[in-house]
Amino acid sequence: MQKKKILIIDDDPDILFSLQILLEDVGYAVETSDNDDGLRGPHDALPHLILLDLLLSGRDGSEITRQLKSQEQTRHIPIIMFSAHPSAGKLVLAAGADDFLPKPFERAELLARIACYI
Amino acid sequence: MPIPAKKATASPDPEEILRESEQRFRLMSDTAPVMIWMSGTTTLCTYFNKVWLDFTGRTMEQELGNGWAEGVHPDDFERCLTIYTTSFDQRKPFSMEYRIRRYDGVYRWILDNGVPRFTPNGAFAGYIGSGIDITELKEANQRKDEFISMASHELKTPVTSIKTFTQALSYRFQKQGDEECLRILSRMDAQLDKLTKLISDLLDIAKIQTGKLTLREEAFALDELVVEIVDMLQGTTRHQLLLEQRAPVLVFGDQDRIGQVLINLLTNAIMYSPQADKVAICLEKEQGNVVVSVQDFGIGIAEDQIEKIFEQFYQAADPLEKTYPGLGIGLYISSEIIKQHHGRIWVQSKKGAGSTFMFCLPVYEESSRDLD
Repeated sequence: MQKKKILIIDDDPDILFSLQILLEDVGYAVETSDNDDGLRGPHDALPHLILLDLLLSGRDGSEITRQLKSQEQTRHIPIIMFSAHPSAGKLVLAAGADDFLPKPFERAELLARIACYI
Repeated sequence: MPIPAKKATASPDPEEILRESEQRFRLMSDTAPVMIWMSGTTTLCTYFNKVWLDFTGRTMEQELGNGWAEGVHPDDFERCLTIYTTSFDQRKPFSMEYRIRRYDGVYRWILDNGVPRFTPNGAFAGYIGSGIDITELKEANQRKDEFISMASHELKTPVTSIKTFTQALSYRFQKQGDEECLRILSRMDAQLDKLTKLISDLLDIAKIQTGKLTLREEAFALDELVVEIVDMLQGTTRHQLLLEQRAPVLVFGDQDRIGQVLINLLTNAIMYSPQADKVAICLEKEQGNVVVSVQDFGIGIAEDQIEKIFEQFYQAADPLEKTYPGLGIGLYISSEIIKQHHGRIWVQSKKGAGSTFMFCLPVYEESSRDLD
């Protein structure tokens, strides 16, 4: 069975690296990036789920969410946003994200949430 | 020829007294370094002092009536007018912040306080108010808020990756059955949780100091919040968290922050009663207030320590017992939260027999009307 692919977008390389190990260990295929460039490719290269930080280097992650949710080819991809701000939940949901997780993550909760969508 | 006798003790001329009083008021009003205004029994303004007129660069005639409102920032206009007219209708004092255009065209933030005034026989006579320029203060608070946001993000970022690495390693060692490494990693994870909580607590303290501790204000069901938090915490402890009494009331305030207080009191109750097996929680409605109590059957607090317990950085440290971990900020933050909600927090305790922490909050008006 083909592995489910998760794209993680964050500006901290160690957050990307640590999440990649954690998720690959339980059988997901993982791509990491600090921006949304990888989402302009062909449909079969698109991820099954996106983990996206609210605050990227000086850039607003929720703008990316809004854009992805408004485009035909990416609208269907579930987006879980995260932030160090515990009360950013309402904000990210308003931007169109499917779910929110506060940083730092609990492994069990992260995996459970992802499993809800893919 | 008889000289007409001068009246020995001339009764003071009422008009003279009035003139003098008026003069005294004008002098005080025009020299005090605040902006002063008055309105009559309709909401129309009848007076502005020299400081106000100098500030706006307008004349008395331009500002009178509703003229002053022309200088209010368009984004603040609605809110400003609503607060003014609602308070006016209820003859209640008000305090509001809004931007007003200065003589040079720059909008400045004003803190405006108005109080109703009454004639000696109790008739409503209008409002009198004063304002000061708080722009600098507001800008400083704004900068502090932005710093706090960034600091939160910056501090939690390295903690996030370390914690994720730790949990990823735990999974790998678990598959290999390495108990020793699992134990080490579990301690690391617990310490990281503590670090995360400390960061949040320190930032809460910074927020307290800029008065930004409570964010949302809304009416909510307190007993439902208590049930939610008890359910959430029950899964983390073998102590029985018993909700012994409920009171279906609404309170007004920040639900997240009151929740934070409940979590703080409950986790303390659990932590300071390692030998006990339960914590009792009660809600009781009492004359317009609701009292929440959290009782533990643990080590208790010595009488001479009770006053200090809500201070910053206080920590239980009985030399005969283990020092209980923590920065000692939890109760301080909780007491600030309750204070900001116009409530009170206190404790009854006996060393060796446990403690009952209690806080009260005003019941939200509408709810008590429904219950009657």
